[in-house]
Amino acid sequence: MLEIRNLHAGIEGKEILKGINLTVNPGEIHAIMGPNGSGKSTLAGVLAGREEFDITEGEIIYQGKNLLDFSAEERACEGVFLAFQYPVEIPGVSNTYFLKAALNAVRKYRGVDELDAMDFLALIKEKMKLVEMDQALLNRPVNEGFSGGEKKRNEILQMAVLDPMLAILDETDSGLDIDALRIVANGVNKLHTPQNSAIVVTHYQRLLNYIIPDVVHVLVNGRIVKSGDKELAFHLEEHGYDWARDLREPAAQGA
Amino acid sequence: MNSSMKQQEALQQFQTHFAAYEERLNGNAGSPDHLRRKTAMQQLADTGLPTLRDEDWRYTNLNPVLKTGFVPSTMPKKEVLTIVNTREFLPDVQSAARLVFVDGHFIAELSQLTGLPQGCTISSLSSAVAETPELISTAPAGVTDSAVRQFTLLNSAFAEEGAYIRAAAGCILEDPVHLLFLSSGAPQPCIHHPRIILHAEKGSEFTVIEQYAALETGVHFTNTVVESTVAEGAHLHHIKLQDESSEAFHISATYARVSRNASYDNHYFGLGSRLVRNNIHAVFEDEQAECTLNGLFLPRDSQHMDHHTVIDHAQPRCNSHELYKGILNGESRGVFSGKIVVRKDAQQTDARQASNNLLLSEDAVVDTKPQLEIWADDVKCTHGATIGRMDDEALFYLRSRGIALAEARNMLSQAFASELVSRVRNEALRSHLDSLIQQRLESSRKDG
Amino acid sequence: MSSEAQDLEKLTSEEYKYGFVTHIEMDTVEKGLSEDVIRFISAKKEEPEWLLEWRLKAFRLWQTMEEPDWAFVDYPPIDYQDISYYSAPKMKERPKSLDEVDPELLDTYEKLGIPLKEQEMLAGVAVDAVFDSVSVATTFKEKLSDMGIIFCSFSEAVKDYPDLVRKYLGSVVPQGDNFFSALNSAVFTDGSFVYIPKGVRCPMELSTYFRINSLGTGQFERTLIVADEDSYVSYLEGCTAPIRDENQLHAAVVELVAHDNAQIKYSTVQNWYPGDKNGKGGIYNFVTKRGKCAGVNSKISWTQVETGSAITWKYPSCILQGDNSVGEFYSVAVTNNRQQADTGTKMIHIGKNTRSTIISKGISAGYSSNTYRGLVKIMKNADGARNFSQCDSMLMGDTCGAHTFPYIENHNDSAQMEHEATTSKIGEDQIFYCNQRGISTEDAVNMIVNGFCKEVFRELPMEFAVEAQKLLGISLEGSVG
Repeated sequence: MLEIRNLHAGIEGKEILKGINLTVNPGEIHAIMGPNGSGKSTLAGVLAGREEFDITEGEIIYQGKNLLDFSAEERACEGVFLAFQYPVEIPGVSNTYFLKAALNAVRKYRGVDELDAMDFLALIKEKMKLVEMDQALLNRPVNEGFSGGEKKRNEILQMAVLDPMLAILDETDSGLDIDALRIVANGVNKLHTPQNSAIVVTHYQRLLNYIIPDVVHVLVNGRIVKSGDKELAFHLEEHGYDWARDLREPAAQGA
Repeated sequence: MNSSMKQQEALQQFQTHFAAYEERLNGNAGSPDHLRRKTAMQQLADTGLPTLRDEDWRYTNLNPVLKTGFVPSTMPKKEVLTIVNTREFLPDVQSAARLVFVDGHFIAELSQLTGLPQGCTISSLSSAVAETPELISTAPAGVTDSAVRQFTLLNSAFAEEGAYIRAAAGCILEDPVHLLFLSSGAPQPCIHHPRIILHAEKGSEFTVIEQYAALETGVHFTNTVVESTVAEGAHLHHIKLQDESSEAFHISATYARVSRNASYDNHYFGLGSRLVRNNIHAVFEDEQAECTLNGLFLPRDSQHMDHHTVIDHAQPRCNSHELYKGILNGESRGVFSGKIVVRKDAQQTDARQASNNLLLSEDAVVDTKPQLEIWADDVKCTHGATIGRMDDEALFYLRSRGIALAEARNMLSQAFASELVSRVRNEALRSHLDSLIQQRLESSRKDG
Repeated sequence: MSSEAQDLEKLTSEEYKYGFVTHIEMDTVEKGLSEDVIRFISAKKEEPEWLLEWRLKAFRLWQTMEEPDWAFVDYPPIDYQDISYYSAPKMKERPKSLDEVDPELLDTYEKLGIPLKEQEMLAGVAVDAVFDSVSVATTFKEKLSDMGIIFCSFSEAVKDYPDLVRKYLGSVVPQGDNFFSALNSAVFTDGSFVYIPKGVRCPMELSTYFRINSLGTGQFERTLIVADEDSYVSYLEGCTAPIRDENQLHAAVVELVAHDNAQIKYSTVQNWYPGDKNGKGGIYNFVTKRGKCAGVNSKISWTQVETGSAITWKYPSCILQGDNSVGEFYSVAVTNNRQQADTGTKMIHIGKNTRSTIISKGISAGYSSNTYRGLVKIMKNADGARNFSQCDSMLMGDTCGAHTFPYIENHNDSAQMEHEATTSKIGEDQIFYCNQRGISTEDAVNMIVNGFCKEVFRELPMEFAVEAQKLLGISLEGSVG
């Protein structure tokens, strides 16, 4: 599915990712944990195609293709989905309209017929149940006036509609209360199949109680310093990131 | 430019004054100082005085000013000075220094200029000019705005007295410097042109309270110009308190040039005179500077109070905040015209402006003109304006709790004003302002 | 959509060519403006004596006036003696077929989905075929006249309904109102006239589009709409396609009168030729539009989408005279390349409990300048008047300008006025968010811009709104990314 080889990336001359190696196989869920400023969100951004980052070294192979050759929208169409840490507000553009435009762009790229309004509405209604979202939110402008929890649920709804191969959840748990967390995690789990994969970026172990990762990576100072199974997350929770900071050995490869 | 008759006549009157001044020059004719003044007078004659047809003056009719025959002010009589108690004008406010002017003349015996910290120069303008004659320029460079230019030129032609404050690099003055301008109610309408020069050098900080008050009622015309420069990392706090004779005219131009990481804030509290026109023109000369313009005006009867501000975001990453509030009574008229200019390269500007007005009487009039002129794209600019009378629902709520209507109105007005008072840093000054506002609201209520 | 509307659409999309074309002889008066020229125009149009006098009065006023210079626009001086004030369409100079038309123009028509025949007309191709549309249009005309509705060219109205014209002409925009209205009053050649009788609700949108009465009369157009008591009319002006025109100066006047309980909804899409990328050519659009809510509970609503013209100078206004009358102004103004727009509204509150709403959306791109200028004036006796204004600007790129100059004048303490303005740009984070969902940058910009303008678009009649959205995208093409 995804293979990251010796990825170095930075912004304005400052290196943030200092040689990331990571392999994600179909059907796997990987968690990336790390302290603030370790480069977690940078990694998510680089994967999704944020242009402000400079890739100085390394490559990203996604389904046999060089991911770095694609623009952000092409990556989306290729099935890479980023659930934003801070979902963006787009005043005046209704949620429905936005989702329909996105879905049809993706379908067009994949050579599938665009959905008409009726079919789209049916689809979205079904997907909304997944995230227990209030239908009223559909007619509101994208993320505008949404609560923190509503914004994150909206991200998962978009994910459900766009049906990605590789979902990257960037701190999706931040700012969520336990009920919202459960709903979001439940949505992610239901969308998970043996064919698709997910990378869950988080600071806390809490989310991993609900989304069970196959592999946990610890990212410190731009490098993966340790990889292991879900027990690693508990260990981190208990001992804190200071413990991980002391780990200086090069990262173990993903499973 | 075509001027109407009144403008022509007034101009001629000023030219006569100027000729009289020139006659007294004797050996000093042709001095750089004389030439600068002459240039200012000439430029004023070329431009002419503004009329209602000038966009910047459309809400303020100058005819009452122009048709009054003013004479240059004379030194007040000794007996006038003996009755002045300078403390009463700002009770409880501790000041670092005080300069007192009566009818525009500096009164050394009423002033207090001792015990100043190292690096701080505070003096009357006349003594500062004696050392550095070029302190009085024709007009601040780069200001072409017709809204302020004419009366600045008039000031430049005639200004002889005022204040000069300079804080050297790193000098910090805790207590405010008090500039007190009094009018004696001289029998003949007199005109005076105070000039105030404020320099906050690198990393310095000070507060100036510019206060105008009347010893007696009477007709006079104050035409002030304030020039301030705030150097890198410096902070200048400027408070203006104006409560002059109800027959007086007051026109002022305040210029501020603000440098990198520096801040300038201006707080105006106006109880007014017959006609007030305040102009403020602030320019950011470097990045990451800040400017705050706050104003509260409370006209009553037939007072006319006009506020004209320009904040020029000439440099990127600067912030400005502006809040002007009017509480209007009687047949008064309030004007707010605030312009924010964001120049082409002034990216990441954050500018906020609001004008809120409360009408307490049926005959009061408000004109407000908040303007944005934006030439950069990565900016946050907002402005808002409201005009209305008191919220009936709030009034009713207070009354339903047993508060009498008049008291309730007073409370709500006071609350409306308090936002601006609370932004003044000096606590003693805040409480003085509170009581002034309280008095004004109560007396207006009785009159109304 | 009602069946009339469907018919109407059919008509507009196929058969605009129907000959309401006023009979014009092929003669042209010398360039320049004088009383003789006005007498010539009036005589040509066989006008009554009073109208000639009316024009002459306007001309004499115009001669004493100066061209306004307060607007935030910049253009070389216009030589008013170098304009021909009466000219027949210059058939010879027109392109003979679409092959001779600027391919960029055709490209735009293509994107707007304009039928070929229509393209020919808009591009000014000299076609003389008259389509068999007589029956459809006649059906409309009959239906309207059955209801007592008058909808005809201004020239026809002068001949057929002189009393109505005389009563209302200049009653809202007097000849000497401003420099351009005085010029228009002196030399206007044609325009539209609408009268809706008492108690009648006009069953269809009236559109200039299906009554293009003569090619090339657009320069000094005069429109007068009167809605008598308890009546309603919705009027559409202009169309989304860029229209080629040899005349650089356009100075139209529109007057609306709404009597007791009457409602007039006036929608405009203005897409005159804006000039090329370097600001060469393009129309100067100096328009005076004003409505009078003369009666109680009357309502006038202006909606405009302004994307064209090199220079736009226009302030559709409402005089709220009747008690409880309502004025509305919804505007989207887009400027790109070297375009300049100075537009807004005036709401004059005279009657009690009058209400006004102003929603203005300005979008600037390229090297353009876009100014909102508005006046809200509450007169002494306008007890309980209310105004809400919102002026939002969006900047695309750092070489354009967006300006907001609202004037708010209040003489009544019981009035409530609120004004809000914001300036924003399309955020890079918004674009990236859309990209990440598979939406291209161009579509993302379109989507965000249309979202920004939504409050205005929803005031437009349905079909118009769809076209306007498309138009916006085309106008802003290439301004981001």
